[in-house]
Amino acid sequence: MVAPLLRMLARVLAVLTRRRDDEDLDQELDSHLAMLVDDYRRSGLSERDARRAAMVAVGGRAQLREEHRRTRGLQWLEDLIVDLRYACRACARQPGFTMTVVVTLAIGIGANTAMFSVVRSVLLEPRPYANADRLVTLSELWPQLPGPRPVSMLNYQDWVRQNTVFDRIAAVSWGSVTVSGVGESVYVNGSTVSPAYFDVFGLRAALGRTFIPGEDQPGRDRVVVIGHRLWTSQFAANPAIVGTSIRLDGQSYTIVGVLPPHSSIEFLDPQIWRPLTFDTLPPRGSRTLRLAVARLKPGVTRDQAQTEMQVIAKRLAAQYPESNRDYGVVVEALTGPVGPSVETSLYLLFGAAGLVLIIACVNLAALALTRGGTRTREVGIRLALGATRGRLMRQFLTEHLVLGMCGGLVGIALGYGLVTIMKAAIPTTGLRAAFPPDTVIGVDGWGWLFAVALSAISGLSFGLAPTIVATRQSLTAAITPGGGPLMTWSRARGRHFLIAVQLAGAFVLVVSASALVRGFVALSARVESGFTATNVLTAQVPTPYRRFESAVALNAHLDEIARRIRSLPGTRDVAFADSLPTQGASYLTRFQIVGRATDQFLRRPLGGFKVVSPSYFQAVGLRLLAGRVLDDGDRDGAPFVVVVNETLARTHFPGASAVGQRLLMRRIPLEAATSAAGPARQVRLTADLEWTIVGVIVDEGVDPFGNRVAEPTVYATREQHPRANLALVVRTEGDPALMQEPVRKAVSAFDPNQALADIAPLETLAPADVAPDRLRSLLISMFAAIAVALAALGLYGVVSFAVAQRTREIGIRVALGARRLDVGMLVVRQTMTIVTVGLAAGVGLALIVSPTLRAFLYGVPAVNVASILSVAGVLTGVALIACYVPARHATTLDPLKALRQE
Amino acid sequence: MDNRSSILQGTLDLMVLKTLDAMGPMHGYGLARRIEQISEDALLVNQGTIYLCLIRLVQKRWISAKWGTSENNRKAKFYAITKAGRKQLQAEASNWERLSGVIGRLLRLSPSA
Repeated sequence: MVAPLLRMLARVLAVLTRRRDDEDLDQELDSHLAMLVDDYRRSGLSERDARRAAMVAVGGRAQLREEHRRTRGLQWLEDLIVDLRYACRACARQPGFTMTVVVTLAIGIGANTAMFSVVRSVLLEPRPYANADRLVTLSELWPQLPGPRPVSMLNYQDWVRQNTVFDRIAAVSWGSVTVSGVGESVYVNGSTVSPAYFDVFGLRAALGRTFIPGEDQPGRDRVVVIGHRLWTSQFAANPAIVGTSIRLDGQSYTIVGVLPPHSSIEFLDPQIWRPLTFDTLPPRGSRTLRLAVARLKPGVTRDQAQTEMQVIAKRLAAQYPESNRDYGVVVEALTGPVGPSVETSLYLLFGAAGLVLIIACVNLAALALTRGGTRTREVGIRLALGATRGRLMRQFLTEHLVLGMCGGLVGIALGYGLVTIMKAAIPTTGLRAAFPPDTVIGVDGWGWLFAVALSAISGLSFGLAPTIVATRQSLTAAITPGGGPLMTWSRARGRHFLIAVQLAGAFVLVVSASALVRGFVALSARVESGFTATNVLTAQVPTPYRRFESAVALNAHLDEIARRIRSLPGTRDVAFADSLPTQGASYLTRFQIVGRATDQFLRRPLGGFKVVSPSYFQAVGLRLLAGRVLDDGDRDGAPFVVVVNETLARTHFPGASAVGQRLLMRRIPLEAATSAAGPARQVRLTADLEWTIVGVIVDEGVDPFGNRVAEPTVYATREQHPRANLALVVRTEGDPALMQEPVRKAVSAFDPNQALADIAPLETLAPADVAPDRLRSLLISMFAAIAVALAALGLYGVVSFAVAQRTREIGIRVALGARRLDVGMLVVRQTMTIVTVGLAAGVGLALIVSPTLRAFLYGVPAVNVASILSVAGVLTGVALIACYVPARHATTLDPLKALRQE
Repeated sequence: MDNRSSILQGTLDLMVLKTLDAMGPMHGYGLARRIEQISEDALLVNQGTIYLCLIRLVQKRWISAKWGTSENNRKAKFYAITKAGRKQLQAEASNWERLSGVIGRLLRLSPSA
């Protein structure tokens, strides 16, 4: 058993000690001969005869040495070493070709390595909790509004009681808070959750514990679990933190646990969790839970759960028609912080990068094929000397493998660069964060492995065609001077096929890129329409409810902040708003148009309700379309007025003026809207109040959660609809970034307990909102440009080569009287045939790919006649340019010289 | 090469091992002469072939090689059987005996029987 292994090892080692072993054998044979000669001499032969007889008896020295090598060593390993050495020399001998191959492959492999690394770290990295594939979210579906929406607490309780498909289920509500008492006050993303929440994720505390049953009861609910990041940033990773108390929105809580690192388990990356509690349950029509999370029972699919939840929703709708009619439930896989759109776009980009690599390989194959001609003679001589075709094939493939690896190494360096660029360009925090906050993105060992494997595959695949062609050639044709028969067009069919493939691939990429760019432009136009993002500074101003006894006190507090900031040099307008431009409205309202058929409350149309200062419109440059904007006269006690956006006016007052119309709406009391945990509590809306529409403004932007349609929205002043936790909007004279410190100082000089969060120029927020779209368009455009350049180069190379090969034929044609124009047209016509075939295939491919793109286009069609025609036009133009030079060369050939060539 | 008639190869291996076992360390020349005498040139096409067999056995660690000086003062490589080689020899030898017994009986069968 051991002997064969030992022998194999010895043979591998023998390859390395080849020279010494040869010398050893020589010496041994020398002494063998000498002894034999001695013996023959002793038996009476002459010196000369003895030597001759001895040599005959021992046998041929060269054959023996060769055979000995083969016995002791490994032929293939020796061949491989020889081939590698030869390949390196061959590469060095033709630096131009080598550089072209290495750069082309490096671009393809670099792009793929980068995309692979990003996809792996973002999508494939297992999530840090158990049974991640069984985790789902449950939301309600509301009539008239798209997408998953908040959930009624009473409905949630019925789900818990009636379902048979979930192991664990927990409710989640909003719960961001100001943390004070430890260092500077900070405003922290948080959630309020049912105690079972952490069990759903199978998450244990790193320190202390998570919630225990019963901690959602009033009186026992002053406990809090904090995230690892908050623990390190705010509490200096103090291991004795468990059991100490902190102040949240001015109230005292006890820290019971700290979560392990990398356990950000939600969209908004909360860092603080409190139990979800109710003094009294809100009515069924009050939908104030953000969502529910649940773990499916083993063996239950999401579809089964969806079906059962649908049945339960129907039952509830029949039971409580006034609050539940037309409401549904949607069960979605918990995608984690990475939304499906990020996932799709990453795979899309990965696909595009793959296509670039394929085009690169095809291009190099065509290039190598044309160059294969230059090695005809070398191959011929080798064949004549007795090399087998298999041996030649191995040598050729080794050469391409070496080229592939060189390209791969440069490609890995490029990949590192590309990953760095992508990381810098994609926001990782905030509402539109593309990745989970703790994601570590980088090229790791797997990335290297991927790149090396890809290099090998690329090297071999682009080397395959030239290898086969080179080793298939006939022996005589190769060494006959003058190169055998006339090169005919049909013999170059393989190359033409490759060019057509490249063109088809390039076509798909260019069409996709143009669609994505158009989508991006449309999106940017929509996001930026309506407001001016330059010179605007924004910040969150958390104002916990319990700090202010009344709306009047709160507004006085905000007035003073505004006054102080306005008095800073360099500020123009100071305003508050309960959500920033680009972020839509944070609250929804139901309204009844006065004079139309009245509907019961829960059946009224919904719209966004945005609370702003009158100066808001000017501060962000929202254009007034009709009537007037809000002004300082619209105070408490004055008639209730609102400004509506274009969409509301168009939807509800088509063809008529909205100004002067009246809406019945109820107010959310300050107490409910102000506490961070507020929406989960019972919301007692006021009675219907009558609001007069005084003006219409342009739509100001989009909903952050991917629902990119402007909603009907009304704007009211904070005097007429008090609201806490507003955002500050400051229009500055110059660079808003320079105003950050003065604004912060002014606020803390006024009130050291007033935290300011997320202070940043609006411009950095607005682009962040579209950054994934921008990056997507940019990358795919880059890929498309590379593809077009490669295809053009390939076409140029192949056409030039064809013209060079046909020099004699063209010479004969010209000598026989063909006009120069005819010769030029011949080349162009034959090129265009390839181009037409390639483009036709491209159109087909583009139609197949286009549905994938639709998600990113915001209504722009992925493939239309205009885009197909224009891309085809551009590519044909590029092809014409690529074949112009060789065609021109053909027309200017001197027939005499051409015929004398070779 | 390994795929050359493996019976011949096996025989040659066995012969080398047996010779070294019986006569102690020997150089290649001595082994070649010895085998020629015994086999009457049936096994060695030419004397050089012995070295292919020797390197194979060295690599299998059945014999060991060491440079030394021959009886008439020439530098030569001496081969000696190892412990593993003896074990192999024993196994092969009994194998051969069994096999040659079988073949012998087979060949002794008379057509009439």
